[in-house]
Amino acid sequence: MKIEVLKRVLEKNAARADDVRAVLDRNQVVSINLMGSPGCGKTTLLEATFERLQAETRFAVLEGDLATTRDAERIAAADVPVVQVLTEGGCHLDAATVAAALDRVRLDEVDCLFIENVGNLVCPANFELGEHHRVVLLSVAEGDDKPLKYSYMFQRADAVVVGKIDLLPHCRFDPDRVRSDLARINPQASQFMVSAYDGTGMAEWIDWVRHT
Amino acid sequence: MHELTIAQAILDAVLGATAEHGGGRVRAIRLQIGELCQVIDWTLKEAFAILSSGTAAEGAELKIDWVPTVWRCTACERTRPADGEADRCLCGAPPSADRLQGSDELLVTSMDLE
Repeated sequence: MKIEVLKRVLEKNAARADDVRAVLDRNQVVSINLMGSPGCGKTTLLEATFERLQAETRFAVLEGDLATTRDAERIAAADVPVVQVLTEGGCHLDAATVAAALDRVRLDEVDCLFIENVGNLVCPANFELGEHHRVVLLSVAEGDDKPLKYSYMFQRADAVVVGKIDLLPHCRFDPDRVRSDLARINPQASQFMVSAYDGTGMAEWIDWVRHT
Repeated sequence: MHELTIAQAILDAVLGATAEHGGGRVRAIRLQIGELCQVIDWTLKEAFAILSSGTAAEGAELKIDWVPTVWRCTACERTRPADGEADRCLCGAPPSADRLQGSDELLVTSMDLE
């Protein structure tokens, strides 16, 4: 007997994500899901962002990691409240995990919540977390072909940040290729070129965060 | 490895639908998956086989209708596979005329129950 089902496979996650967004909205918290490869500089970008905006914006971080609390310790050292979310081998965060972690955040004392996803350019793209904005960070050492290779991740981004541009002289990375590929994949995305290390381009990125 | 999470969600959906229809054994499950999701065929099937073991969907065959990801040329509206060789459209428009088009849907469309 053939039965028509027509069910969205990830609808439970999407429903949980809507719940998370409702809680954040009620508390007037803007959330940003920060994604990128392992080692692309997500935590460093956050540190550099907090350093510049902490005086005017109250931040908090949900720190997704496969294992270890190293990133969470770095955020805590920047005087930003952080909740560690260990996925214990899981390759992405999902909405249920974020919902549980939110219980440990004083949302009434937060304006902007960064969710640092697990370093991965594939899996996190599929799972809404209840975020308001999605940001993908791509460091120049990874190569300029990544937007085409991982098109779904880049297609769904509200902003794409090209990072570690202080390394450009040492890498075969053509910023124009990234720009032209993004124009084909996701022409709406805001684009930034930054070096958290020497501060180049940080002002434009900070301005974007300020206006989210 | 998001296939494991997706396989579990498929199993939940299928077992839910089976219960709604008064139970039985699931022989086959038809899925529609957008290529954009980067789901790997055999990984999903392996994960499903492991997770469904001992349930009403044990041994069920996953039949997947893939929705391709394509370049759509904004000059002539032709489409071509996004992973194909051609770096530009047949009409000669430059690559900048292309827009990526695809689906990120993951759907259980039907199943065979006995």
